[in-house]
Amino acid sequence: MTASTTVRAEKSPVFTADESDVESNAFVGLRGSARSRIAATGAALTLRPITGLIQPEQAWGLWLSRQIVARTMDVFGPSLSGTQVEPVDTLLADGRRVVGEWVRAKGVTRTDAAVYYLHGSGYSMCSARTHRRLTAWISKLTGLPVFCSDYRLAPQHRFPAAADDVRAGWDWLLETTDLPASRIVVGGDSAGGHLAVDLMLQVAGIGQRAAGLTMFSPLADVTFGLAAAREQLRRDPAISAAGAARLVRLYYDGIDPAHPRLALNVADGPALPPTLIQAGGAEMLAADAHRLADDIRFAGGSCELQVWPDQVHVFQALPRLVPEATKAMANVAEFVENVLRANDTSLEGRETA
Amino acid sequence: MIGFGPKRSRDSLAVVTGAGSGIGAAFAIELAARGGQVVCSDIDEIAAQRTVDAITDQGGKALALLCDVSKVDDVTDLAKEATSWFGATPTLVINNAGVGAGGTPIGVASLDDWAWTLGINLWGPIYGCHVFAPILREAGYGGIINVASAASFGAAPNMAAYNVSKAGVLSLSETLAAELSGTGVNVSVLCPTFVKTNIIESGRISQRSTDLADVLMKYTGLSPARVARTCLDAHDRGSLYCMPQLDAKIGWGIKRYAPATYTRALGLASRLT
Repeated sequence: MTASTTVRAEKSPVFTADESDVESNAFVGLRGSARSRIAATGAALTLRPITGLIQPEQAWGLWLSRQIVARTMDVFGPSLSGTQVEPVDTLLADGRRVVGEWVRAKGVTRTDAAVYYLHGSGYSMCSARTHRRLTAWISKLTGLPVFCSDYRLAPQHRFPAAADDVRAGWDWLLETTDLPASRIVVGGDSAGGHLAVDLMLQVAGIGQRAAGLTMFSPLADVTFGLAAAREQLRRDPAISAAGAARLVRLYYDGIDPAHPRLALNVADGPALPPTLIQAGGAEMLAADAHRLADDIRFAGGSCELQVWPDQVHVFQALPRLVPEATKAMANVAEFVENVLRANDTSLEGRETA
Repeated sequence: MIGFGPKRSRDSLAVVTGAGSGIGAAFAIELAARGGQVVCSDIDEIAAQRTVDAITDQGGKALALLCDVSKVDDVTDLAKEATSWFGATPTLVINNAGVGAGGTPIGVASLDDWAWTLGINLWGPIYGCHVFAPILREAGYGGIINVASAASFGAAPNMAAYNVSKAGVLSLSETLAAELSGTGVNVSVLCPTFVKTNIIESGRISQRSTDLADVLMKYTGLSPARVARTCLDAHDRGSLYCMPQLDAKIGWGIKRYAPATYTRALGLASRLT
């Protein structure tokens, strides 16, 4: 374990960003709220022992994991009131199938830009439905329609099914909305962050670049090597690195995790669009967030990393549990507005002329 | 001596060597949680940065520095850079960096392994004390914690270099404690037995001994976080010796009250296994 993490670490030589980390923490505050600390401790005492017993390879284990996540997100997620949902299930001209849903919060009518959201899953759980409260909230805060992909899940559909579905959704989105890539902000949490980065690297090859990329607790290392090293220093309140790795392995079983679309080579790849990464200080995937931010900056992209002290994995989806979710999402809305405005200068020139 | 002194582990300006993993990382994280600013030094800078990330992610303050404790120039630089980062002299120094070595008896173990082990485990704390003790004495406040081991008095067979190095650290700490008495600087020496760390993988230990140590560590090992908390509390109370585990305390008692019997029993036990 030690040896493999060292090798991975050597691949990307940047580990200098301590000033920017301090900055981002000065930005988010030094300690989590009492409620979030109680939530993290509560999860460590209740959730972690349960997830430790669940076997994701078994049907009951996967079913139970899916139920726990779906119920948690429903109970502590933001309000759905007034949200309009438009299911999408269509075929592209080349036969690829696109499944997902348009989510518009009450009063959202903008058509000049859109958010393409990739839900988190550990590659084998969740759906556009479980994340609807989160996508509706993003829609409400940004005033933009959100298209959430319902990509296929493991273990029925393995690598690269999910990544291909995400790409098909992107192609369909550009075609159907008639928007250029530069008017689309891509968002994703957890494994959705991994998919989002893969998508950005894929479409960079054909000259497409999104307006921005915003990720909550993104997964960078599908083998959970970075997370395991972090776990030695601080235990994740929700799940062990080994347990999470077993879940994600359902997706790439039989495939070398060093495959370029699994071990995403961000450091040497084309520069990603402007990126905002948020992660929780209490979760093990904070290590992945650091790695991803370092790699994006190394490749010449701009990336803001915010690690919120005492927060758990994808805390943004749980505003009724932790007050930080609201503050973090306000930052996301501001980021989306800024990257779209930065791309909009040419349009403004035309309007005033 | 009487009553409650200042708690040195609170709001400290701390320097921890070997902070990239194991007990050192646990010390760094616990000190940050107690309000301290922590310089995390390690020979593996990436590992040191990992610890720093874990601290800053939770709102703490920490800095990663590369330091090979077996080189006095590195330790001198460490003191300089730490002082400039703190903007003040350090108040707590933890000489923790160490490696495991063993599996072969005296005469078989290579002299190269001896030199390597003593260079890090013994000369590391010597340099640390040599560089930092005058700074703390001058400041008139602070603490030094040296991480030894139950091996420092246990003298188990087939790990001579490790035992000698840790015995040296114990003696170093005792001497330093006497020299610094009355100066406001506390000295503690930590003597754990098995702690769940990577010292076995990163050390020079024969395979058979590695397997045995792995099993012992898995079933009897204490978590590094528990060890660090216990040791810092003991240091705050002004204890010289900190033995976080019962087996270390028992071994320490037997060794002191019946040293020759202890060694004979140890020899017998190792012949039987």
